[in-house]
Amino acid sequence: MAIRRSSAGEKVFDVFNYIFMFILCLTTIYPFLYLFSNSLASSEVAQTQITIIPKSITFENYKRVLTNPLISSGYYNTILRTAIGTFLGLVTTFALAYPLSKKYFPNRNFWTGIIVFTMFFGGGMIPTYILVRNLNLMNTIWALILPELVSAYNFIIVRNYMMSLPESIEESARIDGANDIIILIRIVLPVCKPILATVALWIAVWHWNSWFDSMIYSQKAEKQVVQLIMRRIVLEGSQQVMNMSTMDESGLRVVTPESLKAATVMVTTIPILLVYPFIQKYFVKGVMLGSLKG
Amino acid sequence: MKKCKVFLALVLVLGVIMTMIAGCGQKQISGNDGPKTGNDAQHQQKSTDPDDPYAPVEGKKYKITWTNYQIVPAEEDAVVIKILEEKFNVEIDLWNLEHSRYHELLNLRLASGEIPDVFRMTDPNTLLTYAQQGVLAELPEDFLQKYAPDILKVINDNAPGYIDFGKVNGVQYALPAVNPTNIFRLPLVYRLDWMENVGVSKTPETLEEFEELMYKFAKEDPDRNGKHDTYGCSQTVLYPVLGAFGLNISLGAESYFVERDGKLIDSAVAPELKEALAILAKWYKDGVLDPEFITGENTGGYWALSHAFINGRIGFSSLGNFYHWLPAGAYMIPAEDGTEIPSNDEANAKEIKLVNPNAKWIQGMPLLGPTGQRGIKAYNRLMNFYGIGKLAEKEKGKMGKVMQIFNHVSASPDIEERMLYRWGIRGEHWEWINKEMETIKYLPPYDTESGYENRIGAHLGMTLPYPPKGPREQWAFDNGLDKFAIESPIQVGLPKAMQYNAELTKIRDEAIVSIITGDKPLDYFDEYVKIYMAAGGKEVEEEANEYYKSIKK
Amino acid sequence: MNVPSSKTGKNLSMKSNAFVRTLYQYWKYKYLVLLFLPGIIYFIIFKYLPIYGLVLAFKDYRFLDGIMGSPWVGFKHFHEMFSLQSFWEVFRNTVIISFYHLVFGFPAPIIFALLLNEIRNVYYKKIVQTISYLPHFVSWVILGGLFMQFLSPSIGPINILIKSLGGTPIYFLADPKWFRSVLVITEIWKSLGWGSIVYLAAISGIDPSLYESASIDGAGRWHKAIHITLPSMMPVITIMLILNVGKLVNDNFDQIFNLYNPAVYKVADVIGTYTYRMGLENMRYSFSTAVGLFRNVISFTLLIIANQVSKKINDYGIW
Repeated sequence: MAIRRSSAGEKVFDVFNYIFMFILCLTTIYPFLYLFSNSLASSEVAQTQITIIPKSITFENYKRVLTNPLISSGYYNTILRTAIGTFLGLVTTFALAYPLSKKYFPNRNFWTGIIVFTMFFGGGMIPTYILVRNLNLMNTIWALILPELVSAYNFIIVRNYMMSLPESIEESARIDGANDIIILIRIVLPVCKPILATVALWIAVWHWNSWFDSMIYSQKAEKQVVQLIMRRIVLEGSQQVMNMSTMDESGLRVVTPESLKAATVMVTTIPILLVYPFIQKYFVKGVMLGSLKG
Repeated sequence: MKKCKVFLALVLVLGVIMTMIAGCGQKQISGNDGPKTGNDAQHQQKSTDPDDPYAPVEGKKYKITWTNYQIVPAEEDAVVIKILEEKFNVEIDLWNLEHSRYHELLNLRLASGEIPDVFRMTDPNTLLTYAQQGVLAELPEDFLQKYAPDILKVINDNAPGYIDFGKVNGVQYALPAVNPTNIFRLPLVYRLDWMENVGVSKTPETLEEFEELMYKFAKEDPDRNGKHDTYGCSQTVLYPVLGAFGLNISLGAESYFVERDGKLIDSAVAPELKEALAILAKWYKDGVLDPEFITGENTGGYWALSHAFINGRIGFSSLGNFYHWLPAGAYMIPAEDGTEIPSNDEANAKEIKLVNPNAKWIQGMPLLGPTGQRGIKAYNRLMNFYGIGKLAEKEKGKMGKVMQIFNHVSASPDIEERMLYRWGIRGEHWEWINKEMETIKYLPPYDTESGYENRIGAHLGMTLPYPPKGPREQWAFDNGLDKFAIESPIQVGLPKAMQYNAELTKIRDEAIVSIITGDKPLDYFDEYVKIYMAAGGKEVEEEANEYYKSIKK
Repeated sequence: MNVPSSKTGKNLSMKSNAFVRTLYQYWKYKYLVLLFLPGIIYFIIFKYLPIYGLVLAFKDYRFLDGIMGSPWVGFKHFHEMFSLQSFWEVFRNTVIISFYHLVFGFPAPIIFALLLNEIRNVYYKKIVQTISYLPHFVSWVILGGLFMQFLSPSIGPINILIKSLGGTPIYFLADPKWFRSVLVITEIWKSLGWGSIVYLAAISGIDPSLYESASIDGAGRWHKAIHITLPSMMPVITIMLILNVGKLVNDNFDQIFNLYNPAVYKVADVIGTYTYRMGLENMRYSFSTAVGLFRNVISFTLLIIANQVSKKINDYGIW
């Protein structure tokens, strides 16, 4: 294999590229640094002047957040729904996409159309709510998993990815008499690793960040997810929530300091951020290679 | 194309079938003629008063659903709720509806056939809507007199006439919560050290004096730092300046109607508004009004903090309430043992001291304007409403029971009982500082937990206009905060106002901002008034006047 | 396979033949059917059973009567919607802003993915990837406040830079000429890293031997990027583009709500923010269903058009 030396133009490009990425990272990490620094500030420091480097560091905010009883139940619910929801969602989506990626599947366009249609037309909150209620799913983890189990958007992406795979990879297995399910699991899925990882990430992050469904379906406090609790704390006392003409405050209320709100955001966001580095290994080049040569 | 047709046809058929199937799954709430007819199967039960259709059935354990303002949800087996349940022999199911989306959540429940017994509504518009939808039970006068006597007394003694705000078309559907603190108007806060630096010793009393001071704040380097980096005021200056003409407008929110020659006109189209805008436009042009007034003084976090004021950018603010500006020791709280406890730094006071320990500030009086008006906005005293859900009518004696309990938690004549249901258990959650002044202090760890009273199941009743007794309110009286308050003459929800509100607010705010910034000339005002009136402003004005006539007699 | 023939009319037998034939197909591919059944059942139960809610757009919803029992009002809500003074303004704003998002925001993650792909150092690449998607996780409630400070004409860094270069400060958030640009640029920044993930996934699926043979032929990196990487990503790009075209009538409510003010209503008040101020979220279900239905019909139509166009050009589409 001949090794080319980079041209001068390419070297210049590399330098600019690296610098650009560096500056981008500085800007994208800024809000987090801001929140992080804020979360370490004590409530005796001005909330209206926040700097990146805190004047004094305290962990009392984290202590308070982590000892909030609703945080631990919130975490439990969030992790449970994310784990189950991602797994079931992935399985169902891929099981749905594979058959519909085959041109010979009967009424293929009709079924695809049925699914895509739901991306645009839906009954809305009320009928869905009534349905969940009638199915006796209120206050259960299933109310957070089932209503949005499969996203039509994800389905399309996966199906089209599968359509771009060459038929030849399945040939030898078919000759050996394997049925579709085995082919899907043993041959197609391994080749789909990048898209599998991507969709898994999308579903997991969606579950992690969801709060609205928990608000309407988890009526008991200990069934609520951690994002809902976080949002409640962060929005407290802010302009968004204050309806000026019907103030319920009588001024005696205790106000949650900004630093505590920042700590809450940190605690509820950092765990999901740590997932991505772990799945980066699936974005490895040459995933297709093995199966073609094999 | 044929495939498309087949596909579409199949979808339509599918849709129709689904519609029919699912339609059957919808619960339908049957209407009801009211308690007089009552349920035959239940008339066997022994009522506590056979002549009264509302009287609770003796010994029956009712199950009551309850809606409330919850900052945090009540925990399972909340202690105060348990106490209440035992006392009245009932089962209470408190719906923890997230207050930032309260009506959305409530409506979902209504849509699925659940109507709460204790039915809270956040404002007059929602009262109107729910009454029209027929989900509220009627509350006749004798019913209220028998079962909610204490609530009625407090309202009628301290806010006479307010009980009528709970009526829609003459029928009483709810009890109005009246805020005792809103008898006090908005504050006018000035940087005292800046005033001293520019040689002004008294807070302004007239609009002219105010203008002079604002110019000094902007031009004469009042913070003595050698830099030209201060302004007089920002967004909240709208309140005192408009108030000096007797008007009130809140950007993004309501504008009050004002009475002129016996008729009501909207502040948004009052001729005096043009004068006020001329003044503000001049201040903007001269660099006295902060150019960033458009995005407001508060840049996030607690709504009552004026970041612009705290960070020394402006020298005047009207944000929040008077108590958000009180420094430590503004008033003393006499304790039971004879000692006096100084008050704490509140909101803005605390922040200012952390940023600039040498800063001083002072509150002043509303401004007298060129037309002889003087005043500044006071929030509506009318807050929210509590009614009884229509479903309660079906169960014999339930309405009476519900109202009895509600009356007790909101207005029990025994102050210890009232405090129990408001703040929790004495000695565990709170303790008296001064019982006569009704001031309390929270006990650790509840003194740092926001919303603890919701978590333990307290704060179940409604806010009532008990005459303010505390030293903080005394401070307000002493400092003239109850004077020159501009109140809205219309405190109920009116249909046309609701319908056109979004559109009118938008037209109004765009015009105000563009005239002040000079984007549009002052004479644009006349054109704007025409546009406003044509976009529904005329209908809203007519409706308001009709209503006003009907209550003035 | 013997097709049963019927003596009672040719049409009938042909139809029942077709029907039986289809049934046979399902049987033939029974494993595939087995796989696809759970997903389809999900869609039927959770998406199609509730779809009757759409009729609310033509009714006046009353809680006590339920959706089915509420009275019909025909197109009343649509009339009302179209006769709102600001309706066409907010509709126009919605489409224009979405269009800008499409033109500038759509290519951004693609370009970013390509640039990232050129980073040789594996660690640097991974770190950049991870940091770049952080803003996706911070909500606009918080970012709104941050941008207010960042873009402030007096104390914001951007304007300090502008002033030091001799220019006059720009009040970005209150200037109708700049506000839409602010919306687009901040949204790109927020979603750049996260949006590039799917393209990076597509890139990783490319056969490395393609690059090798290109190297042997003397191709430079630019050539490889344009002639190998980009074309291999086309299927994914096409699908994403079609789906995004369908979103032209959507708006980014969270972002706009946390950044806008009366000075920029004219250019940035969108359907979502306007209906929010109408209090629609709270009470007027029928009306908001009508607004939603209106948007959905347009979205769906746009999607179909985009799909057809794509098929004509690339012979590739959603179906």
